[in-house]
Amino acid sequence: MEKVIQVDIEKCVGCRTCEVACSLKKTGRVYPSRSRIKVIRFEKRGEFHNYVPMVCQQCSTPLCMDACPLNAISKDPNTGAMIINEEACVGCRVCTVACPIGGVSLDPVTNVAFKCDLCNGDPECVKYCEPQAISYVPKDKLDLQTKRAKSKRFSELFLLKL
Amino acid sequence: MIYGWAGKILNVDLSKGKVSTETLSDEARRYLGGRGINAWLFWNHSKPNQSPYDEETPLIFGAGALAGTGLIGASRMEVTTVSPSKTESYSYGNVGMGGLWAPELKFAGYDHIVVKGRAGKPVYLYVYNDDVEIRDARDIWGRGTFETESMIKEDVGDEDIQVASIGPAGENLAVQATVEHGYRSGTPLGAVMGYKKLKSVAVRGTKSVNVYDPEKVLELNRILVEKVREAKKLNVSIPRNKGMDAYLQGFLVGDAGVVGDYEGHAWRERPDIKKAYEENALGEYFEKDIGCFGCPFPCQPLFNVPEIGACIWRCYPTYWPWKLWMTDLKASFKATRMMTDLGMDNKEVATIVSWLMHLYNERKISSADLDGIPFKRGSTQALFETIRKIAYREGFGDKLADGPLLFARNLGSDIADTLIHNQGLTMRTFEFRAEPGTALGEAISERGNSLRATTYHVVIWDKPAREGYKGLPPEEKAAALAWSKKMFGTEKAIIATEYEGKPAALIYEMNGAAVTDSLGYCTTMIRPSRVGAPGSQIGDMSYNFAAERFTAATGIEIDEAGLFKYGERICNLERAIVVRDGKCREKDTIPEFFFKVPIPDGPLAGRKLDKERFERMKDEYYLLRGWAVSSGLPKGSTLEKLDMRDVAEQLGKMGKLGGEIEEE
Repeated sequence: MEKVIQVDIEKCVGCRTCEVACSLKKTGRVYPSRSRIKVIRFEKRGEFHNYVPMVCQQCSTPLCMDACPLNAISKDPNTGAMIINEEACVGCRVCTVACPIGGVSLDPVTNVAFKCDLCNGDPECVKYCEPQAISYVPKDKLDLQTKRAKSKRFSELFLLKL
Repeated sequence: MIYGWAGKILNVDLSKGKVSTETLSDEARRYLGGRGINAWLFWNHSKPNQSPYDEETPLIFGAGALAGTGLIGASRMEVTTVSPSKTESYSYGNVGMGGLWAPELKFAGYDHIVVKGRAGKPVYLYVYNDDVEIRDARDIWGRGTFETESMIKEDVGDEDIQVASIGPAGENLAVQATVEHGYRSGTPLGAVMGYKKLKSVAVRGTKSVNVYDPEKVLELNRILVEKVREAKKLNVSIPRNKGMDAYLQGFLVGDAGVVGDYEGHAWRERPDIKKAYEENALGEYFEKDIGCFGCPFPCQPLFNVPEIGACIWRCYPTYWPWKLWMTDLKASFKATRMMTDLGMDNKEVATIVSWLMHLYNERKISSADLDGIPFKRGSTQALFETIRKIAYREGFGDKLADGPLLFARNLGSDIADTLIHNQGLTMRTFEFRAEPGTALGEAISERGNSLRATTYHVVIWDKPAREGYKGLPPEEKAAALAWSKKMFGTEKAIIATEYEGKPAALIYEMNGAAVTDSLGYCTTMIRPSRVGAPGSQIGDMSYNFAAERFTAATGIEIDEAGLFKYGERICNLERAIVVRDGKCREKDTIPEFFFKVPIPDGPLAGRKLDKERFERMKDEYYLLRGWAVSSGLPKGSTLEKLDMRDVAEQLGKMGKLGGEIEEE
């Protein structure tokens, strides 16, 4: 079963440890601007602090792949991840326009497209997310935790025999 | 290739509007980074007893040596300058903060920023990699720190920028004013920024931090995450329990200290106050924990109270309401948020309000002295008015903003005698009378009133700081005592109420804290022990935890002893700074109150500090440090052993070196 990185925004604490892990693994440095996952911050100090970890969701219909004029994006048969062929990519950014969630962008150093490749089926970032705002989940188990949490209240209603 | 450090210092001259950079020298790196290198830069750039309101006074920002290396818990920044609160004799002040500022500075390519001069009009410093701008801040001047941050983000057009600012209190040169980042503040240094007309330092970087062994860094992080998961399963975790542990520590126990606090005796019998805390009126407004860069187990509980707003609510802000007999926790929360926004230190302000309420209660002052406001215990009006009046320098607040000591002296010497302070800074509510180690640390402390100089972390805590507390497990206690004997020669060194062994324990703590702060590490992450304390760290009982991580990030082989040499060097440099400014054996003391007035009630009733034993602790402390016992000044030979000949030479020229040979 293919797995994807599931995001639970309610659990994200905004610490960016995922960016550290991703960049250390991929570039050997702490290099958040080259991380494939990015914590987007919606903050107004004194009012709210909301964080959304943004990472490629390996779409069922990968628009980036369809859009690439050079066929530089392909699907990894083992993991299901969309992989960019860096040799073939010219950095035209059509994929970044096509992606509905901003899951692919331009590497500031190599100037070709870069995105999450699921680390060959062993994504580094999820190992450090203690609150489990990101987790690596089989596609048929997606959102089960969320469903369970949300239905807990209904179950309590049954207990009250309402 | 340099690992860990960025390798560069940014120099800013606000008078001339000029910026330049210099390489971070090996000489500077004798002091690691963060607090240590900040002290080194302060030593080089400041003059003896320099006023905080002198254009040339350096204001130094620094990132810990390991900030930005991706190691969990290494994220702290440090601000160092003249402490405006030390109104009797200006000298060294520093403050550390977590958050995301320090790593961002590293990503921009710098370890430290030295700001000198004074701008003609309000400005803020904008650092974006190699582009550094001194920007107009006239529109932002006068705003609270919350709005300031939003305005700068909009001005720059970057949500990821990290900001450290002052609020109106700093602009108006109140000694209580802090430098704020996130919701973090402490020792107030904001007036120096205010004098320089520097509203904020905003940093953003897109570069990288090189680490020597990336695989090892990841592995060490993985191990730590596993440890925390285990600890959570066993329910012995660090206090990250939806903000509740802070309550338990602060309220249910009612003591911030190990065995109590000097102010706690008045309120203890008031069941209504205790009840307010036990009922935990704010619990339902807990939103989530947020925290620092690269730490997946943050400890800053964010509360969001309708009609008030959001703020972090833990540590000191959760202790002080009971000192003021405040049963309205929402109002306390509101005051905390207000102080964060105005940019002022909770402890400084609340302790002053507590003191004024005490004087009012004793009829030593009346509302006529306080702009007509009755300072009844528990009065929220008195609290809010004091905050506002200090920040905007209105009425009695104008005088308080010049320092509580000057204010007290204005009211007469009998009132000045009742103010408990350390060089002008108010004091944390520990029971110094029954904790000799904490008292000694307070006396020695270079910045004044500092958790960086206390045996607070090393002593055994055995008090019901969590629900269902059943006492320390005997085997844990036995192991701790054995460790104490091994480290300090006596089991008593880690018993809070004992004198014996305390100097050695304090040195261990101070050196360890210097290492921790200079690496930019979180105290709860790498400072060992606090046996039985709420919030025990998750590493091991040694600094090998830190040493291993330092090596992984920098490639420099080091062990615990090696790190401690750095710590000792940093403590000696800080001692050199305060000694230069006039600190000496006679001035290493704490208020007479703790020697004279016995504890009124409780299990330690009747106890006070013993002057003779206190002085003997000082003898031992100086001896162990290699400082002259008669004067408390560092010896040249001690500094030389620590590769600090240059510092010794300069101290020598000032006649501030301790005598080498002393009579017994």
